[in-house]
Amino acid sequence: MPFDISSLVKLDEYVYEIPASYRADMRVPARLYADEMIVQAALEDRSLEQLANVAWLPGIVSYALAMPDIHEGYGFPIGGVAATRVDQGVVSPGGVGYDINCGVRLLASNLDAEEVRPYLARLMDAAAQSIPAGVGRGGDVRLQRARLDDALEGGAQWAIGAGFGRREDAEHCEEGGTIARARADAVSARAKDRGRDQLGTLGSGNHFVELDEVAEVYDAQAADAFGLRPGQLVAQIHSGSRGLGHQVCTDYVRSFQSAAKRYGYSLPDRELVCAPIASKDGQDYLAAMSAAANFAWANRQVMTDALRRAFEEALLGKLPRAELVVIYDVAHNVAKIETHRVNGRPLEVCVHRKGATRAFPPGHDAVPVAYRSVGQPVLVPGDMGTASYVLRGTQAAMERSFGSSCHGAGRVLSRRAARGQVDARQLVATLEGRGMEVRAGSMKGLAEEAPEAYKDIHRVVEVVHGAGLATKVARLHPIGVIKG
Amino acid sequence: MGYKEVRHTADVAIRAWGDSLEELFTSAARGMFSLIGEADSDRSVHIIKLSADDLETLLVDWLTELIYLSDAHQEAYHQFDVRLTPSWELEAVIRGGPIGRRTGAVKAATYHGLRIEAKQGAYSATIVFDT
Repeated sequence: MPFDISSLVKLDEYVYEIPASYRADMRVPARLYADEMIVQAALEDRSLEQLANVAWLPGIVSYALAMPDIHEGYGFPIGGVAATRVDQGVVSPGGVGYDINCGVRLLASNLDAEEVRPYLARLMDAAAQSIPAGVGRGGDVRLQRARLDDALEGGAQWAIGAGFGRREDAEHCEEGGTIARARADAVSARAKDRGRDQLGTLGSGNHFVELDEVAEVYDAQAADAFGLRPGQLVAQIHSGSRGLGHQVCTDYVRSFQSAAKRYGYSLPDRELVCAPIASKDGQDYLAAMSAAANFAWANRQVMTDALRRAFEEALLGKLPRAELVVIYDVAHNVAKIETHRVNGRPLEVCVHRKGATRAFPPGHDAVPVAYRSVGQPVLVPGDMGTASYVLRGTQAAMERSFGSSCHGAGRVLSRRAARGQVDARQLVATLEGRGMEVRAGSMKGLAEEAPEAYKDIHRVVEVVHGAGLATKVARLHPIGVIKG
Repeated sequence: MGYKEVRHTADVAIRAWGDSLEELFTSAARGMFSLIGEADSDRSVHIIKLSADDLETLLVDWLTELIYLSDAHQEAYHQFDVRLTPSWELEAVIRGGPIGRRTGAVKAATYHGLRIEAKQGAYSATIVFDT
């Protein structure tokens, strides 16, 4: 049944609310950060009904939230954020999703995009060669069981210790690239089986490696702290925990089906299965999800190392030695235990971010020392033909959205519709006509990711900027993309 | 017996149907492999045994098992000999082989909005896949 627009109350320019009275099973209201056009798009599918479902979660505090990149998912809508009390609330694997710690890493280079342009094709070939992409592609790093367990518990820090990068890389990752509560023994043999040869691989779908030019700087002080300047060449890696993470979510969604019955939950949607955070079920899931998140951080770390080698190989003797420095690395599918002020008092909550990015403010302990005066970098990749943004976290996000912001543009067209409307070869020609280099695992996959399949990234960013959840630091324009 | 892709913004939904539950489970599997790819042989045979507390869970378990086998062995399957008991147990023999023509990837079969409908001796269900 489509959502009834008359149930939506406009609170201010960018905030809409579904009151808790909308449905008897909502424990709190639901809030959507959007402008009018985004609201109209959300009314076209089941996103808002899914958001109302989230407000059912036992122990949820304040409100169920959706960011302006909202679209229909399963269980949570994409762009969904929910905080549940650690002492009395639940954790829901569907509030994280199957691609645990799908996330983005941004790397700064010491080069200008213009000076790299003559060697761009060569550089993209080298990068595509060193980072396996596409469905089911295994990597060169095939791990024995014991080493895989180390990767699951050590994350990016394990990968660095194993020779894939520098110590300072992990310092610029959310959580330092490792969630300490991870336990390899909470991850099934099947999940480990699916992950064993996938470290250092991109995967398929919306995952990518992209080279961008810093097109505009909006906030000079923050850009300076992040190491960004106009004209600079930067790189983004968007990937997740591969088959290992998918299996972890599958395993716990299955085992929680019976747990939900045991706890007497009357679920509005079975994909929202959950268990008390304080229970063994809840603790085991958090340990396994954290292990999968660590695997994703190790994965992006191994790909960072491969990208550095590609830069060296392609540009050696042609330009000054290329240096790639990690600016930041954010998770956008994750559940984390954090302290937030609820009803004026600090409270320990489990913040589920399903297609949403953490956006912590200046002065917060979890923000790397180098950025503490300006706030956490918030990375918002757009579609491959338009733009991406770097924002910074704010105090307003702490007060309004449990320190969260949007994670990308958000889809408007289904994959099938995109395939039907987009001629992939024409798309490549258009992008190449703009001076971009495109490397794609499959033409079909490329068509599914065409710019017209996504919302307007500028509009999405204007909403979070206008609402004050995260403010604009810089805009990036793509010059080269590798799609899985 | 058959399947078709239906509208879903982010992921892919497949509507599957059949004159028996066995046919429904076979259609759902075929629909899912239309998203993954085609085998270039039937050299590989797997025996699957599952049980669940309800039919919807059994359907998700069945598709989940196929996703795992497909991912772990890089195979696709096209022959499904499925038997179900009234107490929601499943036994199946599936045949396929290495993926010859790859269509895409399926991360998981979800429970989102899942309900097996029975009408005049025919069964149908819509399954949302994370792709």
